[in-house]
Amino acid sequence: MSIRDLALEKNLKDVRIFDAHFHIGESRCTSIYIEPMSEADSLALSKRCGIDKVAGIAMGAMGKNDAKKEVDWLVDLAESRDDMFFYAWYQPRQHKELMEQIAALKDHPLFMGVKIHPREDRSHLDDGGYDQFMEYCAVHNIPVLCHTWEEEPMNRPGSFERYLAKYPDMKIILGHMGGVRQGCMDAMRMAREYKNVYCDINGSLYSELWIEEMVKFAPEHKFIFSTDQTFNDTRPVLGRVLLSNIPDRLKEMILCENIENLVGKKLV
Amino acid sequence: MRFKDANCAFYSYRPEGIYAATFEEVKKVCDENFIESCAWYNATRAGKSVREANAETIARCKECGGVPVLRLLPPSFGKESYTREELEHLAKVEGAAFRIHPQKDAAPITEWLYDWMIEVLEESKAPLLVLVWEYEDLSPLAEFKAKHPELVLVLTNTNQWLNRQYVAMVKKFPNVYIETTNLIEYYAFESLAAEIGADKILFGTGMPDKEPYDRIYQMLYCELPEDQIELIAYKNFERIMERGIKR
Repeated sequence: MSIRDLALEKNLKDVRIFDAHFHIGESRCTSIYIEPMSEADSLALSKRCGIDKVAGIAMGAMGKNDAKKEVDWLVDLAESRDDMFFYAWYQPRQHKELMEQIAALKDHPLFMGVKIHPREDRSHLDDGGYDQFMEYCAVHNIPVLCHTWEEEPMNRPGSFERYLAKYPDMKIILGHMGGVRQGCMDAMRMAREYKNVYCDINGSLYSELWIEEMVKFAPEHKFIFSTDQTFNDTRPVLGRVLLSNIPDRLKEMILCENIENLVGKKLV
Repeated sequence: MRFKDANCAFYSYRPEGIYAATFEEVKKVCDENFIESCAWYNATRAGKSVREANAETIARCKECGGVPVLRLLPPSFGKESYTREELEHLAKVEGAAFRIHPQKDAAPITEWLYDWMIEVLEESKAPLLVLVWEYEDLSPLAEFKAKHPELVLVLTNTNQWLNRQYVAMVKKFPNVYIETTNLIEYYAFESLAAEIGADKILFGTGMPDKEPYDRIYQMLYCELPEDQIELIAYKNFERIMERGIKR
């Protein structure tokens, strides 16, 4: 039976699905209304929709001055469950404490990498504030997941080229793959040109690219499934992959294998 | 599973990145994805006048039994807009719905601009589709709606950054509906149904600028009671878009 048919029958137990970009935790002061839901309920909803495991990002770390505390909370949560990995957090204004935390966590079995969000942290990929952090991640082979959006000058996909010029093999996941059309096209160009640049497909919702066409623009192993919940609903990106007319083998890669190969561990 | 799509379009050509764009291609995707009927809009701008593009939409809908959604321009230039008689015929006999583009056509819905057309829309109950994406702030639309309670307004392509505004519009004014193309907010269908009622939400895919799979999956895994899912999936479409008019 095809993966599409399994999805239509709500029988996804044999399809491995890993959500590589999952916000969790306090979310009540965002600039849009987000339906409040407890952490346990959020994770249960993911399961009901077909997702086996997630890579959590501490919502409370975003734009805050106590990101370290939020990451500690996230690590505790991940350790208390069997369906969750975690990203650490970095922002230049808390350099010392967050670098110490990353160093302490990087060998943790549930560690996925480090999330950065220049817009929310009122910083800029081009201003030098991330230089030491990027060097450390390149040296230690740590994946960096960055919020990218073409219309936001502080975190465009193309801003990573200055780091890739120095560290061409560093692992970068372009979060939302640059968002709008031009950002997605640029993200896929970089995925073609650089060995370890990956596209986090949740942002391509806004790109006027059907997934059947999108996968022709970059190597198949460069597309990573994620939902961006709880900013976004759990189901749309999942439906885009599961119900589309791309081959089942490619669906398996996007839904789980590509991120497993990127982080070098079995996730589901 | 059955769906009726309140926000479906076609092009006369296939833009890069779009898997199904022409009427035949989009119709095939509909057939494969349990979408029985659509409100069809001709999104082709180049090479056709508005009248020609709308005439093609009507002809296509006669073939497939869909609801024609016609691009409506204000009666500023007689050569491009409809006469009152024509508009009444389209709204009442052809059972058409209409779409305005406040930004793209620089023609926001106002009394001084659309004049008698507003009366025709109110009398006929022909739905007027408005792209929320084309607004940075819904206040002008809400102020207009306050003066025209009978006008049936379908807010399409909602924008999560305006979710407090569009929810308030549906709650505050009668005959305002939203469709699902851009309902990406967390637990969107469930939380919106609780807030505004499932009878105010129309299933829409936004094809061909995007795929239908996201919305179908949301419906498939929707955690609302079956009667509310049916309202969103097709019954609201039958009531608001089809309006019992034989096409």
